[in-house]
Amino acid sequence: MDNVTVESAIQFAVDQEIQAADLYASLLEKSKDPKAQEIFAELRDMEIVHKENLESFDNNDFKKRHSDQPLLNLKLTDYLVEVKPGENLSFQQTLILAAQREQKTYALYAELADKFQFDEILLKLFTLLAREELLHKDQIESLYDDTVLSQN
Amino acid sequence: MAFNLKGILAPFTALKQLGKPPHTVEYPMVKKPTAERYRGFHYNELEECIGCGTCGTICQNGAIDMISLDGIEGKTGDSGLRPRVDNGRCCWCGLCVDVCPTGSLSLTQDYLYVTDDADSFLWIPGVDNPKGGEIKSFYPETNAESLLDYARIPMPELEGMERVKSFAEVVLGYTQDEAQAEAERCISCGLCVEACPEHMHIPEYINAISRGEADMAVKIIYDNNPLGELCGKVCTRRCEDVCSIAVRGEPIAIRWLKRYATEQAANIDIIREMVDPQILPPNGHKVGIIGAGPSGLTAGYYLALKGYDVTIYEAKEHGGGMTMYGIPKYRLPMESLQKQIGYMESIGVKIRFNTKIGVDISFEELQKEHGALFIGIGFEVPYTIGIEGEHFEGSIQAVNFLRDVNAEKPVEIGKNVVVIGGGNVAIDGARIARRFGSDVTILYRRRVEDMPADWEEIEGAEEEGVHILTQAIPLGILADDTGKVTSIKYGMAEMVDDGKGGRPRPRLIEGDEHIMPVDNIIGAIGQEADYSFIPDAIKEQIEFSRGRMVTGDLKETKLPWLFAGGDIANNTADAISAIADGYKAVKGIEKLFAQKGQE
Repeated sequence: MDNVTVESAIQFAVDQEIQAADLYASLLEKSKDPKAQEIFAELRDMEIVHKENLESFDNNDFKKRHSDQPLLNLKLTDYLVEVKPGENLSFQQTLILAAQREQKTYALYAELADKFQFDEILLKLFTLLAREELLHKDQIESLYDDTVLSQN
Repeated sequence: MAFNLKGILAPFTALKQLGKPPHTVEYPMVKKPTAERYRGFHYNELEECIGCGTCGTICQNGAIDMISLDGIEGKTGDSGLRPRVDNGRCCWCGLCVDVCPTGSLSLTQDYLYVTDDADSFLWIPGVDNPKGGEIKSFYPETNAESLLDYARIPMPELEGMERVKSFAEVVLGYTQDEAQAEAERCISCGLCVEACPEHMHIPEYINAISRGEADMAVKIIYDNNPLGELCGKVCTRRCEDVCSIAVRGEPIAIRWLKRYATEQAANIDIIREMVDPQILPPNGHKVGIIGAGPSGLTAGYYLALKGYDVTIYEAKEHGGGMTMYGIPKYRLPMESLQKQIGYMESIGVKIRFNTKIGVDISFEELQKEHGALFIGIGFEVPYTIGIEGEHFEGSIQAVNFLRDVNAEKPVEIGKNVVVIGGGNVAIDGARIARRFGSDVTILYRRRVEDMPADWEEIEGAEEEGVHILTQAIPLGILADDTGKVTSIKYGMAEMVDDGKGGRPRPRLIEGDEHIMPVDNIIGAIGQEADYSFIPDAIKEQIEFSRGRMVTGDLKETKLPWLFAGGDIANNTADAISAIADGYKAVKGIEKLFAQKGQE
């Protein structure tokens, strides 16, 4: 990614969202657990919304996109055992998989932001994208905290 | 003519008054001060009042009625009504004030009321005199001045360290005298009825107990709850949370009173005698119920009473669901549950034990055989802790541990045990491990006040020597070369605001990690349902939300012949809510067959 422009960076992010949506759609097909199916469908739809948001991105979005929304960062993904995509995942595994995926995407954008520190616009863009992934991870971790960990 | 000295001095006596200041009563500009405990017009602290209506009930003149007011909505524990006083009937005896359980009602120094409507004597305390609180004169300042008894009759129970020596029931139960004394504290306001998911007839059966009529109390209890003894022992008792007496004192021991009454029915024959069930002749309709937990048993019982041919299919050896296999016997003895289920069987409920749907009989077969199906399978599949090392020998799940102990299967549990979780299952697991002689620590991610477990269970665990370590997050399980658990790694948490007004969430503090040597780790973070027995084609037609079946008011699913209740269809996941679901489903199933009959 040496000849990166804002447009190509956004297209890269869009591709990430498409891959994620496709992954959740395929896992939804394979799942037999209604609780997991529901989450897969929600995650797929969420990624599609993210993709659409990115496609309509313009420079003004730097200011208005979630910049003031506080991050929770419960760090659940730091210590939960990694879940790999597979057939018939449970509700719990589905949430862990999704949170870990958001964490990985966050790490990718954070790395890119670090790499493009010399370019103010790209730095801002990747920092913003990284932050958005953390917000998505927050949403999934909060859901995990409310459901799987409701008794803990 | 006699000498009249008084007549001579009288003018001078009058002149004496000339030097004194005038003594004019400036009424009505300045009102005459009242006595300290004067009983003038009523005043009501509208925010403190819970609309229990006790003031109106005790009024000997029928001077108080309860009315709706703009801006005051009813909610659990508050009827939303407020008293209105007819001053034309009031005799200012003050009984209404003496029995007000919240202390919101008082009498004031105010005695002046002017209106051009000669027929208007109706007065809404607190509304018609919003500043009456500044001139309160007659009100019980302490509980001792009230006519109510705010102290609960203590429930006798085994002492903490005595309990852990056996699985004997911890609670010993009220004697008749104790039960009557406790029942007499009740003011029959009925706020508890709304709070109870099953809307049991609580004031009625408590009144029966206070009269010494336990048999009548049992009959009343069975009117809409066939598992009254179960609830008398382990109910989550939301009724007590809203008891009006609890505003200034200890709530009526509703659960323990129910326990007292139902325990008087010592066997199936006595239950039948007390309840005197009216069983309608067979109506030819067959209903299948999957799961003999509280919801399925309740649905089965009331359907059988109404003449339905009911069969409950239970995968396990005994009925009761999680109440049989998940609640320790020191809280709910097996004999108690079996007696209640035996009574249901005696009135015609058929239960096929050891019958697993999808294995012993297919779902499609059940559908074909019955005009309606009810599913009440509960949440029996535990979530894993989800950390490294959970597969090691010695790391177990609380629901499996409880099930094996209750089924009297041999269990191996080491000296040092850690339980992960803060719900009732975790507490039960911890207290059982104590009974096996283990030193037990509960690791809980949040604070004690966040624990979903019943506070009495938490206290009981601590009394029995269970140590609770809060804001501790399990991070990994360590084992020796043979794969046997040796210790648990955990990290401390800080509580962070979720930004949405919800309960704070725990976040791991980097670097604050610890190792605790243990022999066993018992996971108890929560459970979910296993729907694998339902064919995919059927599942696709049912609406689910967060793993629960979405049902209507009468527990109907999107499929007209399929009903669901208990943990899989409500968010409260307790026995009384399951019982309420079963009861509602009976109405739904009746409606279904009535509609079929019209087709």
